[in-house]
Amino acid sequence: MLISLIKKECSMWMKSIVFYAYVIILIVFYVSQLEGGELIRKPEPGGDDYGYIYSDDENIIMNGTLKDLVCDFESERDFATYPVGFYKSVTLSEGEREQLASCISRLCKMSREEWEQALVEYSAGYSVEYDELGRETVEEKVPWPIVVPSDMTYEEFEAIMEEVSDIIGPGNNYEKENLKEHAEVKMTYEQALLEYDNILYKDKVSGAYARLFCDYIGIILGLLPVFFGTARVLKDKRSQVKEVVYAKKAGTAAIVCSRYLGIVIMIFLPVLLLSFLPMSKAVFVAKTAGVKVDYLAFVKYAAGWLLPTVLFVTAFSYAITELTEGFLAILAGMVVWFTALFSSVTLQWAGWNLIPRFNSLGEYNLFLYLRPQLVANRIFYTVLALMLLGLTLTVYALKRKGVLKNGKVSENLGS
Amino acid sequence: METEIRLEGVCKYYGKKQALKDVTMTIPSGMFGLLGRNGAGKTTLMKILATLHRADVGKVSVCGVDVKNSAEIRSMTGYLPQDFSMYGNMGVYEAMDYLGTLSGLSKGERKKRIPELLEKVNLSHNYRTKVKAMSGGMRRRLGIAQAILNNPKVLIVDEPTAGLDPEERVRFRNLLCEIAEERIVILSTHIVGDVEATCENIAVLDEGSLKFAGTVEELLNMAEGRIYTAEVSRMELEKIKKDYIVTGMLTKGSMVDVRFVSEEKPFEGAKNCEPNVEDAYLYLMNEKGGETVCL
Ligand SMILES: Nc1ncnc2c1ncn2[C@@H]1O[C@H](COP(=O)(O)OP(=O)(O)OP(=O)(O)O)[C@@H](O)[C@H]1O
Ligand SMILES: [Mg+2]
Repeated sequence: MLISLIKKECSMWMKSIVFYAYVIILIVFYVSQLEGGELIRKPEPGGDDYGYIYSDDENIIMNGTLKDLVCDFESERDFATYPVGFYKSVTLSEGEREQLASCISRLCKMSREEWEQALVEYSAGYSVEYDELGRETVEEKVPWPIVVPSDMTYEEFEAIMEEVSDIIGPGNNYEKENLKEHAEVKMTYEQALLEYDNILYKDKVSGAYARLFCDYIGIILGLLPVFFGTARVLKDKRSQVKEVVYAKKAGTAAIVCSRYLGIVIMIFLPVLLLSFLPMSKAVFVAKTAGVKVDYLAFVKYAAGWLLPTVLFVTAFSYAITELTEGFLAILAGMVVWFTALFSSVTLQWAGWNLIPRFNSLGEYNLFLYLRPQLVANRIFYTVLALMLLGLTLTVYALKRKGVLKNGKVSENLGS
Repeated sequence: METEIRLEGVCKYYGKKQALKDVTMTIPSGMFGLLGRNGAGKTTLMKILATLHRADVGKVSVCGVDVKNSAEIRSMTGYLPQDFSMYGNMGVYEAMDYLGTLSGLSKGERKKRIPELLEKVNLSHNYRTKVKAMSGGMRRRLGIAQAILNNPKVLIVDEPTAGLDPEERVRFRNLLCEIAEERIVILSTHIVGDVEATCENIAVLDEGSLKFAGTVEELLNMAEGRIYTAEVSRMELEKIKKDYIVTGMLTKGSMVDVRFVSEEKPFEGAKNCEPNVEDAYLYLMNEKGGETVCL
């Protein structure tokens, strides 16, 4: 019964304006954001910009971290933290600033007066000029003076950074697993070539394009399923079919799950079809470079990366609309979407954000680095989706038996 | 195999409002009519039988199955809600196919059964007619067809004849009678004529209480000898209207043929006559006060 009900749901969507609006928005968004775009090219020797990479060199990590910490400290701004994946600014008390200053002193083995003096001298000799094209030239008369002494071991450094991290609080940029992010260096030609090889042989080209595809499409999938969940519930209300359906033999699980899966399928299928476009680009690039693509890459990435978003947003809107029988879910969905979209720390980041970002073509190593958080994030949203689906099932079952009033459940809570 | 519905001490509240007050009755197989004013609790009672509501107090069993066992009840009942509708942009066949799937029919069963049912309700030329383009009568016929998709033992139809033209109403009644041959059909209505023509057993609800339960015969017996007709002038009519329950009148020039209820012979010239169900119903609703008449 479930399968035939799902088929019926899909064919209902095939006659719905909501579905066609979705497909059109999807295509327009794809064409405007992703069509054309860069192709992966083999780096030429003698170039000066191959992009950036996080260094593994402990010395670079230590000095990069110290420099960022000093700058953060001296700017006297609040510290940015992301405790549960969302931005929170932290203001330190005077006492905490003292403690932080002493950590800096121990890192560079200078007194606070010494390194503050050094900083003043450095700033005096630092200038930025812009030419008529807006390009900046940085001139440093004095090299950056606050460095980690050569006898500092990485373990000592990590211990002090742990103190720093405790002072600022959870989710800050100086936590152990974030230290590497302070060691961004320009790629050399050799590194760029290695990166290129990774894309060709490990990513099989298709992976790189699939990530960029997921990055963009994830943005609209964070919102559009909201309209499906809401529309499906309200359709029953508007057409007055609730009671006819309630009285039928079909189990509550079959009814709710068929509607849910119908939506998920109708949202996900167009995405898979659309992925043939970037796929063909990947095939072309791979052919030029003489390697074989992974034809399943887009399916794998979409299923692992985009499907949890669809599952969650659909369940979210379905549950809320089943509870309230109004347009609240659309409003709530927009709030969630805006929050998710504008709380991304960088454009290559997952955290616990509903919309993980990876806005670059290639960067295989960076992706490997981010992958564990992405996996945890996606599992989290899938579990959340299943919980919301469970809630929907309960609400529907109770309404069906007349335990909960039909209409706004909030009315039931009031009485 | 039990083939009756039993209600024992059923109460139902909507918040503070009590919609059913201690209703106890038995519904045997065949056509059963449920009468009562607007807001009497007919829909509430039917929804309890269709598992869409729960009785707050009391026990209800359908053919031996407790209504708390909703899955089993649903598979053996068909329900036509008072305001039946379907997704507007679905065609007749498509709607039946959808509801048939929800009724648990396999593809093969649906292919066989849906044309039969649509034939029965006279919609076999309307497979593709969209629900939103259907007239009230057509929609009601579709409603009946979908309610008997699963060949239910119990068919519950809530005011199926309201708003139908006379011919359509007669066709509809006959259809229900046909269906009632080997099952329980419960029909609620305001139109006493529907009951008279089709039902053997009836119940009358009044503000949630059961006012009468029994056969049509028994209802008529109650009013026996209490219905009078008289030919009076318009002046006299006003007085009669004040003093008696008038169940019908027909103007003939300056005179009026009036039909009314009276416990004894009211005045010279009034003739006793055979009560019809409408007379008996009005007599029951107006004379018998609060007492329950269960025969
Ligand atoms: N969902 C509800 N919430 C609150 N009160 C309700 C609800 N449904 C019905 N009622 C009240 O319960 C009483 C019985 O209603 P019900 O619909 O059962 O009457 P009915 O006999 O079917 O009337 P009608 O002939 O108008 O269809 C009415 O007073 C009605 O106002
Ligand atoms: Mg009613």
